[in-house]
Amino acid sequence: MTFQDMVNRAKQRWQQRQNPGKPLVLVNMGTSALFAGARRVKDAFAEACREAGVDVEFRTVGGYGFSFLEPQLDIVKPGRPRIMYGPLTPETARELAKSYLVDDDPRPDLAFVAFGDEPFRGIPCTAQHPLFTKQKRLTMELAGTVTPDDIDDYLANGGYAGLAKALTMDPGEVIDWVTKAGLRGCGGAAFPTGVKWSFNRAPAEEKYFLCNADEGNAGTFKDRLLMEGVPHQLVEGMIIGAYAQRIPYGYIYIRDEYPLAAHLVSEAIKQAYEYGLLGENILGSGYSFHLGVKEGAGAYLCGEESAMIASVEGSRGMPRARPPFPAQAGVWLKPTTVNNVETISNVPNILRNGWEAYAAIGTEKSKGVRVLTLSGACDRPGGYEVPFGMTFRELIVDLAGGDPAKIKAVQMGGPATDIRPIDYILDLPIALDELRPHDTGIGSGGFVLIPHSTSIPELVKYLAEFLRDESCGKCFPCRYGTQRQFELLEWICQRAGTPLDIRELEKLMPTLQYGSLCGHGQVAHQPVKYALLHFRDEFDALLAR
Amino acid sequence: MAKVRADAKPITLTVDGIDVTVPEGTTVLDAAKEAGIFIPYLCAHPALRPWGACRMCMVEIENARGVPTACNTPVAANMVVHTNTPQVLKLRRNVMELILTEHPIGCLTCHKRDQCGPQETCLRSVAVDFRCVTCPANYRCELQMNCDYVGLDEMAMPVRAKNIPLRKDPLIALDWNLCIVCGRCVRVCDEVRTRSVYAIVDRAGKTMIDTAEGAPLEEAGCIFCGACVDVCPVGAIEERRNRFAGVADSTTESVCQYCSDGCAFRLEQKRGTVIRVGPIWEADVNGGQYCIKGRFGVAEPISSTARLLKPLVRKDGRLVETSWNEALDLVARELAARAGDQIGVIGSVRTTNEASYLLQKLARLVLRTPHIDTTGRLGDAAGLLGMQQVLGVGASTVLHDAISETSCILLAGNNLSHTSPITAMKLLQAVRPQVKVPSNTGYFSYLPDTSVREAPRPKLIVIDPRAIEPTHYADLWLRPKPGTDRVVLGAMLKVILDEGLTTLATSTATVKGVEDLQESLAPFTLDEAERISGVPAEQIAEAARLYATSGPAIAIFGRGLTQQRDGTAAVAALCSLAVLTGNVGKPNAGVLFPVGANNTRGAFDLGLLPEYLPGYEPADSEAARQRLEDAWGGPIAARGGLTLHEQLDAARSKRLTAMYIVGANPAQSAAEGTRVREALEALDFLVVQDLYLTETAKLADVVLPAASFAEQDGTFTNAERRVQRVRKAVSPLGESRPDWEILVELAGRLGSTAFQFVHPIEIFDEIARVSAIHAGMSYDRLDDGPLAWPCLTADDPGAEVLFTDGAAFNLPPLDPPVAGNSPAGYPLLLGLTSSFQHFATGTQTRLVRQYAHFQSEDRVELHPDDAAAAGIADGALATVTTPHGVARLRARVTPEQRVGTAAVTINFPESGVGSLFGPDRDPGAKSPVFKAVPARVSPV
Repeated sequence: MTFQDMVNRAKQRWQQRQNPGKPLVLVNMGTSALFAGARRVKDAFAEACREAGVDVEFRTVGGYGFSFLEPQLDIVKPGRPRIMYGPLTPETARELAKSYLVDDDPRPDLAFVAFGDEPFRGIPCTAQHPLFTKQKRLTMELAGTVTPDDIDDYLANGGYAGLAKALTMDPGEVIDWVTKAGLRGCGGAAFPTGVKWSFNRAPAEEKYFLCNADEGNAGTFKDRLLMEGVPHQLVEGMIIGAYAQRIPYGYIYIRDEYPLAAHLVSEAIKQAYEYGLLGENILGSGYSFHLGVKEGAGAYLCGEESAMIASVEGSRGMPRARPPFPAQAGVWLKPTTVNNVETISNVPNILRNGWEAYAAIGTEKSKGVRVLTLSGACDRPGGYEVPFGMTFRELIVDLAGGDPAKIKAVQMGGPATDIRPIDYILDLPIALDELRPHDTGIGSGGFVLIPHSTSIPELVKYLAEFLRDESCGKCFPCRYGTQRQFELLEWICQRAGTPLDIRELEKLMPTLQYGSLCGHGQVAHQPVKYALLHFRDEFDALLAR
Repeated sequence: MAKVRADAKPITLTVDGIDVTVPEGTTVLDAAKEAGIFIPYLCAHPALRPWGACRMCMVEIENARGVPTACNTPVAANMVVHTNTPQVLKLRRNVMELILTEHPIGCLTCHKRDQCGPQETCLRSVAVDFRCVTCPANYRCELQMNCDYVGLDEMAMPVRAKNIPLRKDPLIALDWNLCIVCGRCVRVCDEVRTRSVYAIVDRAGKTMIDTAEGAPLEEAGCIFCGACVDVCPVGAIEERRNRFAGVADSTTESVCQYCSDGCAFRLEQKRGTVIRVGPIWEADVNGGQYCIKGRFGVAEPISSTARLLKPLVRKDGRLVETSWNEALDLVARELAARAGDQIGVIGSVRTTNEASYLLQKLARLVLRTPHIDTTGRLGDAAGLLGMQQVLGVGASTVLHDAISETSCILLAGNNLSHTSPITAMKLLQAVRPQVKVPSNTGYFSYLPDTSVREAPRPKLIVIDPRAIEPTHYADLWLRPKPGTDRVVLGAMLKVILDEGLTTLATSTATVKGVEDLQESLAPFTLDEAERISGVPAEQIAEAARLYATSGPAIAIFGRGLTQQRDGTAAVAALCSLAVLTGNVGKPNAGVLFPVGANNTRGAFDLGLLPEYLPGYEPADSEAARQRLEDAWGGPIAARGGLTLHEQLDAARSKRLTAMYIVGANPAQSAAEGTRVREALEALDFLVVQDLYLTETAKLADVVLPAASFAEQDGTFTNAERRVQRVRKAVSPLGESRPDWEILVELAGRLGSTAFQFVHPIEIFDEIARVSAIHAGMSYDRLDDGPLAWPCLTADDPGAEVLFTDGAAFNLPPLDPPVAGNSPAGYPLLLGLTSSFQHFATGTQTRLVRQYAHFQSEDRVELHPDDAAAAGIADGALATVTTPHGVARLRARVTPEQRVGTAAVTINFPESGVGSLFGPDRDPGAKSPVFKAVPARVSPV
C-alpha cells in the first residue's frame, strides 16, 4: 500500500467518523481532565443519554489546552456546529444531555463556545473569541479533536505528510529547512534545532536520537498536552529528525509521572510500525529507524540531557561532565541528539507546510509559535499556543484572564528562573532573543501568576526546597549549595535570619552559577537572586532585629 | 596521570604563561601537572575516568565560556589556561567552604594546630567529634591538603554533623561521616574491579555512598581488594587494622609475596614496623590494584608474634632457643657428615631468586646432592613439564595484559579469582558485558578525534567442574567430571584437526608430531568424550570451533589441570591446541600459566628442581653441567635427583638421612599427610628454615629463623616471567636473617669459597652470568621497572611475547582415553580447592586475625544434592573418607560445586586434609594427585 493509499483510506474513515449520523461527543480524557472528574461526567452523560433513549457516539480526545474548562465535553449534533461545554459536573452533564439532545436546547449557560464564524443561539463563536483568535495553533491544532491513539485520525488530517515529504529530500536539505524555519529548542535553552542536528550528521552505524519528555518544571505541562493530544505528531517528528541526521535508533524518554502519555506514545509507535512508518525501509525509502519509549524512574534531574543519557543506559540519572558532548559521546558513548517534545512536534509542520510558512510567524529573531502554560492567579489557566511577538499582556489578560491588579509577580518559565513583578513584563513581547536585554526569558514556557497574598520569601523557600530535593548530589556546589540555600531561606522565613544570611545567600550565587556541573545547579540560585532584586523589602521585613 | 596513546599528536598550550607540549587527548589537568602547576582536585584520580563533580579543578581558558573543569577538558592547540585568576580562586574557596559545612574540621581549625607537631595527641582543644585525632586520615587526607592549598580563611556557613552510625565490616572501616561523596570508590569498584559494591544513594543534601540496602560488604559482593581504601581521598574508607597509625616514616617500593601475579606496592614503615601497604598507580603489572591478601594480609604476618626470633635446636626432644653460631655449626657438622646423595633439599617457592639460586648452588656444589625440589611439585611442576614438552618453554608465553586485547579466552581449571586475583580482574574487565569502558589505550580515547572503540568483548570458554566466577560471563561453560579434562581437550584437538581448523599451512614455526597426534586421537570421538567427561558432545565441538576461529586466543590453565592424574598430558594437550590454531608467538594470543606462588617461577628458572639447572639447562646435559662446573669452579652433584615425594619415600626407606627444608611446609601441604610426618620423623637430621614454626618446623632438629620479604633485598619473578625488585623496608625481626645470608654463612662453615656475597646484588650478577635467560638483567635495570626473561643482553627490553621469531614445537601423541573407576562405596570425587583470603597452607594468612571473619577452619564443599543424600546440613561437621585417610571437616553446601564432587581447603594444620590424598602420582611430573580422588562423606 502506498502512502497515498494509506491517506485516502484514513480520510474515508475520518469522514465516516465525523458524520456518524447521530450526535458525536468528544470527551476530553487528558490527565488533568481525568483528575477534574472527566470520567464521572462522561458516565453521567452517557447514562442520561441511555435513559432518554438517545443514541450518541463518544470519541476520546486529548486535552484542548483549556484546563479551566475541564471536565469538558464537545458535542456535535448532525448539522450543528461543535459546541464546547465545561466545566461540567455529573449533574450538569445529565441536564445537558436531556436539554440539548432531547429538547434541543444548547444551554448557553453551560456552553463555552461554538465552533464557527457565527454565534450559535446565544453561544459565542470561536471566530470572535479571543481564546481562539489570539492563539496560533500549529502543534496543538489537532489536540482535543482527534483520537490520540488512532493513526488514521492523524493521517486524515495531514499527518505523516511531512515525513513523506522529508523522505523525498536529501537529509541535509531537511536540516537546512529546519534551520531556515528558525526553529529553536523549546526545552528552555532555545538552541537552534537545525544547528544541533548538524552536529550529529556524520554517518555512523550506531547513533541515537533522544526525545526529552521528562517535563518536570512546576507549572509547565505543554509536553503532556502534546503527547496526550497528538502523540503521532511527536513520532512523525522523531522519524523526520532521525532521517535528517541518519540516526538508526531513538528513544522517547517519558517521565514516570506521565503514565497516560507513555501509554499513548507507545500505542502511536506500535501503529506506526504496523503502517510501515517505523522500522526497516520506511515507506520504501531504504531508510530504517527504530523507536522506543523509555520510562523514567522519577528523577526530575533526568530532564538534563546527560543525566537522561545515563538513565537511558540504566545508570543512576546523574549528569556527565562535558566535554565530551552528547553529539560526540552520548548514549553508550555513541553520538546522540536530544530534543524536547515540543521542538520535535514542530518539525512535521515545517516539512508539510514549508519552512517559509513557519518562518513567517513570529518576530525577526524569534520565529514560529510556542505552547505556553499558565497557572495561578487567573481565571483561565491552561496551555495556549501563541505566535512569538505577542505581548505578555495579551497572554495574561486576554488569554488567561488574569487581572494585573491582582497579580503581584510572575514566575517566568519554571522554578529555577526569574520571579518578576508583573508590571515589568506586561508590555514586553513573548520572544527569545528580544527578552535578553531585559534579563528574562520564557524558559520552558510555564508561567505561574502569583497573587498579592503570597509571601515572596515563602515562595522562594518553597522553590529552593524543590531545587534542593531534585539535586542529584553529584557535583559539590549544587549538592551542598542548594542545601545551604534552603536552610538560609528557612531561617529567614522563621524570622531568625540576619543581614549576614542574605550576604551568605548572595555569596552562594556565583558558586552555584559558575561552579555547578549541569544546568540545574547553574540556575538554582535564580529565584533567590531575582526575588532579592525585586522584593528585597519583603525579606528585610523578616530579618531579626 | 592519563594513559594516552603513545602515537598521539603533540599539542602545545600555555598554562599560566608556561608553554607545555603534551600528546593529544591529554586533559588540561595533566598538562598543568606536566608544566609543574598544581591544580587542586578531589574527584579525579589516575586510575579512573574523569567525573567532573568536585569542581575544585576549575580553571579559566581564554575564549571558553565560564570556568571549565580541568579534569575533563582535553587540551587544544594554542589553548591559554589560567589556573589562578581571582575568580577561580574565589570559587574554589567557596566550594571548599561548602564541603567543610558537612565535614569535620577540627584538623583545620584547631587553634593548637601549628604547635601540635605531628598531631598525635589531643588535650581537648576542640569538641570530641571534631578532633583531628578522631580522623584516621589526618595528615594523609587530600581534602586537608587541598584546603591548605586553597587557603580558606573564613567559614561563615553553619557546620552540620551527619551522625551516620558506623558500620562493622571486617578489614575495611567505613565512616560515612567523613565522606565527601567524590564517587571514587563507586567508580573504582565498578570501572576497574567490576564488582559494583558501592552506589551513590539518595539525593541532594542526603546524597551518600552505600552498599545496596546498606548490606554488609561481604553480602554486597565485596572481594575486599581494598581499591576503595586506596582511592578514598579522606578518612571515610580506611583499612581497619592500624587505622590510626598515622603517617608512615618512610615508604619502600616492593612486590607482593603471595600469588604469582607479582603486584608492586609500597610498604609503609613507621618505627621499624610495616604499618600498611599503599598502592603504586604506575605499577606495570597491576596498576595499583590488589587483592584481599596483598592489600590486607601483608603487614600483619611480618610483625606477628608468631615469628621466629632466634634459632631453635632440639634438646631432649624439645626445641629450645639458641645462638646462630651454635645452630649453624650443628647444621654444618651434620650436613657435612652426610654430603652426597643422603641429603634431600626442599626449597621454597616464596623466597627471592637470590636465595633460591644459592640454595640449589649449595645443594649441587657443596652438599653435592642432586635431590632438590620445591613444593612447586605439588601443583606447578606438571604445568612446567607439560608446556616444556610441547613449546620448549614452561611459562606464560605472553604478558597477562594480553587478556584485555584478545578475541577468545579458554580458561581451563583455574579459579583465577582466588589464585591470581589481578589476572582475574583483567579477565573480568575484558569479558563482562558492557560497552562503557573505553579502550585501554587511554581513558580519554572517547574524546573527539580519538575514535571510540567499542571494546569487542572476547569470547570466553570455561572448562571447570566448579561454578567459578568467570562462568557467569562465559559464552560456553564445559563442566566435565573431575579428572577428565584431558579427554575433553583431546576431543577438541580432534575436532580441530578433523575439521581443518588449524593454521599449520600458514605457520612459520616448525611443528612436529602432527600425524602421530592425529593418529592417537582416533579414540577421542565426541561421543566417547561425552561418555567419559559428561560434557555434551556438541558443547565440546562448539568450544573447539570457537577457540580455533575467534581470532587471537588465550588459554589459561591452573591446578585444576595440573593436579590431576594425567595433569602433564592435559597441559600438553592444551598447548597442542594453542600451537595448532596458531595461538603461540603472536601478540594477544598464547598460553598463560599462573603458577602457585610469588616466586614459583623464579624457583623453576633458577634450577630449584631435579630436572633443570639454572636457566632451564637440562640437568642431564653434559655440556650444561660442564658450563656450570666451570662457572662455579667445582664438580657438581651427580644426575638422577629425586622429586619431593620421591625424597619423602627415600627418607622413609632411610636412603635419605637428612633434609634441609627452606620455606616449605610439606607436613601440611603434601599428599599422604601422616606418611609425610613418618618420613620426616624417620630422618636423622632435619633442618627447617622458615619465618614461623610450621607443622614441618615442629619436626625439625634445627630451626633457622628467616627474615621476611620486607626485610631483605632481592627479586621475585612473576608468572609472566617478569623479574621485579623486592626491597628492604624494615630491619629483620629479632635475630632472624635473610635466607641468602643464612645460606652464605652455612656454605662458609661447610668450607666453600664460592659463596663470597655481601649483598644480593652480587648474587644476582652471578645469576646473570650463569643463566642465559637472565643475562641482560641487573638491579640497575630492574630499578626502572620489571624485565621479562629471556633478556639476553644489557639493551634487550625483555621478551613480553615469546616465539615471535618462529620456533620449533613438538606435539606429543595422547594416550587413549580411560574412564576412571571409583572403588565401590566412594560416590564422590574429591579435590583440593582454594579460599579467597588464605594462601597455600595459610601459614601467613592465618596470622591476619580479621580473616577469621571469613573462615576459621578447613571445610568440605558439597553440592546440595550430595549433601542431602549424605544427610549433611550447611555448617554441620562431616567426616570425609578416601581410600587413603579420613578428615573431619565442617561442610559448606553450595551449588558452585558440581554434583558428585566434593572439595576441601588446605589452609589449617589441625584438619589433616593432606592425609586424604594418596600415593598416586602423575607419571609425567611425578607429582601427587589432588583432584578426582574417590571419597565419601558422612555426618559426624
